[in-house]
Amino acid sequence: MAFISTEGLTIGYKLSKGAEKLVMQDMNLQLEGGGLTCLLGLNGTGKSTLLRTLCGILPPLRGKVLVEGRPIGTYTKAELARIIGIVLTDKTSAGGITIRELVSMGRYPFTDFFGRLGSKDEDIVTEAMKAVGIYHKAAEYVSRVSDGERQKAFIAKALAQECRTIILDEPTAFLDIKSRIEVMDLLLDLAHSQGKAILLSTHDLEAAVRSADNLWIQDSEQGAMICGAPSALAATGAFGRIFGKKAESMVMEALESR
Amino acid sequence: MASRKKHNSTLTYVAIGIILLVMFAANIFYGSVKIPFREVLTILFGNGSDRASWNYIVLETRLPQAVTALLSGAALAISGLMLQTLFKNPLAGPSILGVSDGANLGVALVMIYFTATSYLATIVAAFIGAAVVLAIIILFARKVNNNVMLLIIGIMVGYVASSVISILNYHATSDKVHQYVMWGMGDFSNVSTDKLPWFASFSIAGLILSLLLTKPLNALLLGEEYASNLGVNIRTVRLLILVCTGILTATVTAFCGPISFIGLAVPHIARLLLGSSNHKSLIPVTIFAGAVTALLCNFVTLLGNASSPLPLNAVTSIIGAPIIIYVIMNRQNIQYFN
Repeated sequence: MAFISTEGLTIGYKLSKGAEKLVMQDMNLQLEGGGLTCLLGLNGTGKSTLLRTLCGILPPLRGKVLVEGRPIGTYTKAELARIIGIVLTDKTSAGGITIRELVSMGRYPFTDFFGRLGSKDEDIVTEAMKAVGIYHKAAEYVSRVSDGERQKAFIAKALAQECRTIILDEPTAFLDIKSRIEVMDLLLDLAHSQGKAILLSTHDLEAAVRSADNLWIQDSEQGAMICGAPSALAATGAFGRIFGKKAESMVMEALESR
Repeated sequence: MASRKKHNSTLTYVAIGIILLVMFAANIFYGSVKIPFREVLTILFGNGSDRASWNYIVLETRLPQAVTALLSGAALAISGLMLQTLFKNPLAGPSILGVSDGANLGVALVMIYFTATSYLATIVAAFIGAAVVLAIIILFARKVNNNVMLLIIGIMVGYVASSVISILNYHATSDKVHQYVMWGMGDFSNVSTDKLPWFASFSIAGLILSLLLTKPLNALLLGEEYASNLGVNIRTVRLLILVCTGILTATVTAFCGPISFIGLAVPHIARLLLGSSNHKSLIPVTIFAGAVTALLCNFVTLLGNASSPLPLNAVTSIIGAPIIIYVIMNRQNIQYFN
């Protein structure tokens, strides 16, 4: 069974007086466990809207989002917090807490009223930091680490949340090339070794083609989502049609280096 | 490393606790009327001095004034902290949401327009004014999802309230204007012993509510979407924070007048002292630091001429403004809001 799936999902925003701004229509998507899925698309095609709808921050306009087979609306917030973890690019004001405290936030759905961590929680937080390679910075302030380290800390937060699904909105967008590769490798490894379903949006076509098990590409001309393994999509000529000839030859090179 | 940090925050608690006791004592033992140290002690232990006036001064003036300053400082500081966290803005404070402007308007109305002079009328008017503004903000909070927009709405409501006050002032007699201006200077000595229980119960209730919000406040440091993903019900938490800061600000403004800068500056002092924005330790330290700051400001006002103490709001601003400038200039320090 897919970790997250959609049936005839239409996403967008409700405007005033009952009007709606449709972003994408009638999607049937399947997000499987144990794999890395990359969501690609041009700017303004609604990648963030889709991710926020899939993790329950935005309500779908029409259709269904099923989380592990059940409609997302039937979960309480606290239940959902243990199933889907998110990593965003939003500005935070967490500069004055340590990396350990940040990662500990992942235990929020599991701790008591005052958020006290038990020894089991502490162990999970430590393990999460080790898994992403940020443990040596545990006592450092969030505002004093590099962008790459901060991104890894947020991924560790999602790991500490012990969610089977992790959704990331452009996790590599503001990173230098070294951190970008590290983060992608890390996510791929987490998907394969821990059997998690990992979905991320990115503009980095090359990295997506090289690493992802599955691609979701927004075809804005046809208003549809094209899904499949990178090599299978390449065979249909989808890359050239959506991103242009140059991008297609780039994809071919990246596929060869897999 | 972790244990060192823990040690540091314990040290901070102890140090600030001692300073609080010292400041409280300073406010009790020092005043415009010179009373010997021993006599004050005797009076405090309930044995009464031979001079009835000294008994009155210590028990009916200095003691309630010190308790009022302590609670007001804590209340304003914690309001500022919660609003700064909620709006992710280091310059947010109780006065910025328009809540204290609402209280001001209420008082201006009764003082200038209805020319009421009763003390009770002032308090009720301040409460109503603050409550109306708070209701407007909460109404918008249910519609507007974006906190920055909400902050701007708060500032605009505050502007409207201030404008109405200027209109009232413009058409008022100079006596009335003077009376209103004096109220606007802020004063911790307004709360007499019989009113103190009311003042104390409202402010302590607000302080307890703020302590109960520790966990969601920490989650809000990551922003609303992260907090929501962690299971926080954003609308409920936002409402609770607004109600809590509303109660605290309205209480203090109603009883003591609009006291500026403590709400804005003290959370920054607390962060500097503690080196952390984790609310688990930041909330208690902010409460203590607020109490100390208000007691210090009240003490400084007593240093003025015996017949006319310094205006409280002048003192809070003189102490508060340099702190804000220091926070802005001190960029190599921890950037709490990044």
